[in-house]
Amino acid sequence: MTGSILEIDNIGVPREETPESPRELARIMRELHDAGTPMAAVGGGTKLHIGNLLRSACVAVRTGRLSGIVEYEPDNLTVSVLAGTPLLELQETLRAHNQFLPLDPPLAERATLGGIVACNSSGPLRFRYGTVRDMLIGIGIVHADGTPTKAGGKLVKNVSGYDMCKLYTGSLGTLGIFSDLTFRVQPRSDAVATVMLGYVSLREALEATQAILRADLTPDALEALSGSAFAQLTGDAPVAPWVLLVRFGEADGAVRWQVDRLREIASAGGGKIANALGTQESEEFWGRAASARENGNGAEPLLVKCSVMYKSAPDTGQFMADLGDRLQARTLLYCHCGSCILYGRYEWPQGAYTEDVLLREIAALRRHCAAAGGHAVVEKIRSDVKRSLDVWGYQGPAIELMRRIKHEFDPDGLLNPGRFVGGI
Amino acid sequence: MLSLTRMKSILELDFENRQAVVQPGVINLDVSRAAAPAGYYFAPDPSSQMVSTIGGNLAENAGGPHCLKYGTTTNHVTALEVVLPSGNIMELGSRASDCPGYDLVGVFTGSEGTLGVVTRAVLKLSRLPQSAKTLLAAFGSLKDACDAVSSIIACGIIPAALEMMDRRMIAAVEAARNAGLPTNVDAVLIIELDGLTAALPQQADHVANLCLQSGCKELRVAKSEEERQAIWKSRKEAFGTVGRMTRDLYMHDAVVPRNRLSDVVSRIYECADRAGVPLASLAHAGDGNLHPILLFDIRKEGEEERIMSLVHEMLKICVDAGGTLSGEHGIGSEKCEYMDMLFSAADLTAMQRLRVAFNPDELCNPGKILPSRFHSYC
Repeated sequence: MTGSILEIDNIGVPREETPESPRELARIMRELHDAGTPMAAVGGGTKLHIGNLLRSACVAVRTGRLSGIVEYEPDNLTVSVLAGTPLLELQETLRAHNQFLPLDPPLAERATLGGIVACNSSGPLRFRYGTVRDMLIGIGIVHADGTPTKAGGKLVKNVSGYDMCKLYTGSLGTLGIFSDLTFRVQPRSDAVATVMLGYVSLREALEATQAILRADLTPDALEALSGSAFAQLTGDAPVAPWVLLVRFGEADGAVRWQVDRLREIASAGGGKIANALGTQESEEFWGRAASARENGNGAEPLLVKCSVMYKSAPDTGQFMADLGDRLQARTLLYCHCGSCILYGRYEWPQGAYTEDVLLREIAALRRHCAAAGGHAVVEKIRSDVKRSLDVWGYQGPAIELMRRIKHEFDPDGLLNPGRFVGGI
Repeated sequence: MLSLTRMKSILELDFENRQAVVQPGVINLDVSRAAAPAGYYFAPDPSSQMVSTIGGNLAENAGGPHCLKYGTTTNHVTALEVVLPSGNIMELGSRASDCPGYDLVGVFTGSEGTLGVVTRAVLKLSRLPQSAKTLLAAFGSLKDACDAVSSIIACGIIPAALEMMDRRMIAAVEAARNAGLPTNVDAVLIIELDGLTAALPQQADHVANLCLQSGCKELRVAKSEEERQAIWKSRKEAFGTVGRMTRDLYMHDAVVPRNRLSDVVSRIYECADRAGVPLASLAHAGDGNLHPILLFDIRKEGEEERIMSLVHEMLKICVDAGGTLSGEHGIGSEKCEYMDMLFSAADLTAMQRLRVAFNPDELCNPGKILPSRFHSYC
């Protein structure tokens, strides 16, 4: 296929390949490898903004035609799919057996499972169910030289050799391109409810989450949204400076018990109930909420992901809000309260700030997060700024080990060159 | 030999972040005991948890009865300080979520000491469940018990634990402890449901009905915490009681898909019957993790060869059913030659690449996991 308009950070891909089978994927990669051609895996294209600038233009290996369910065994709670399968398509198949894959990254209708695993994408449900590493149990991967290998299987417990699934999860296509993936799935909850509580600050919302856990409630998700982020998501006027979204999923009686209990906790902790949703409304709402941080209004966006420790999270939220004020940006903040991951989405008119201003702000944010025991990853920023920025900001000593692993698996540096941590 | 038993401090319990920072020589159960007053615990619960250490749990990616619902050790660790074979100290992962870069904590966990040595671990703590309900179901045949397991897994309830013991194992436990397990049955299932008090009665009814539909002969529900603890004590000490029945034993550790359980279990027993080797069985049945225990006397002429050939045959039955060589005990040196049953040369080469990145000269635990041809000194 030629004449494509696909670009990765404004670098056009010279060619696209669209394998239809794992075997064809291996053949294509072997040919590219033998010709010394760099290559980049592309699934639904929802996360191409993640990562450093490519060191060289890459042939795009698109997985769109490598799609479909390979084997679904509801009575083993496992499913195997080809890597290019969109998440939403898988969920529709699982739904017929009242099961689901508890992953809710943004843009499920386009995001493919290969891309989700490669980027270790997650969403609010990670509070209860964990992330890709807790669900991926088997993998087929083609390495840089076209050699296919497999690891794991369709077993929920397996210590036969190294856990290669962990190595490949989040490796951003730098160790190989996935052909197929096997996940453990979960039964769907009989009932789902969502309670929305307004708070004057992120600190109070976070304190409420601790009270919720101490009271033995078992929420699916605990998300705090800044008033502006909540308003954009719901289309309503802001109801409070911060809104805590609490989702429960259990049998009907257990959901009702938790909602009642939460009302007591909220009134004791200064939270005001803004809204409560039942099962059907909840599912629609959380479907939209998962994608919220990716949906902008067309202005120039900056998307940062900050991970810190609990004690520092309110200050980090404030620091992120102040950053938006300094840039006079439309600022939307989202906090996974259970894991203290804060996403900040900033929007301003195209080209309003020079590279220097943005680099200075990001450096300040990084210093803040490091002091808070964490780190900040820039997920989306104007491509020209990336010339002077390591978007990952990882400085740990383990980078040497990571480089050695990369060298062992891809000695010629042909897979997604430069985009991963430390320019791997 | 590096002994980590003197590194036995719990360095920090951080309930706000639900983390415990511990040294490798800390006993598994001591983490949960320390966290319990605040309502937290460390979820992985190998049957050895009263004596096994966190360092060993990490090296083997230990499981346990409750990993059916809560996952194994690897799902409960967020950062490690390790010493590499070079002597360099390295921080892997981070206490804050989603450390950028490859998941080195994930690959290190379960690496059986071949990548280096853990000197400090940041573990995830879980909230103690509000309630637990434990059922004991007795069956007239192993097949009925396996069918009950499969139907529970398929029904939309994930029990906290779903354990199976066969007739000979029940007899061993009763002979040693007089625990009051139903005798004259071919199998018992221990089924534990946990979570919100409001959710449990309905789940327990559902599970009880599924057991009855699969031919359950007797069903008990623990009425008090003491009864519940007594049931678990009989299960956790079961392996120890087998020693009274035999001079020597070999404990298997294979895993099969949960929907193949009945078929695989019957083939394993046929295979042991044909060889005339008595079998006692424990299983983390909900995970598909089987622990058939072969009972024998090694002093008999040719017994070792006979047992090892039976072991091989049983592994093959599991692998042919889509299963694997080990669920929680690891490959070590005993099973490394069997890795070819499961993996292609290319699959194993990928694993070797990982090892080489950490341990190029094979100074740490040489000869383990991969077949001998992958080891440099051979």
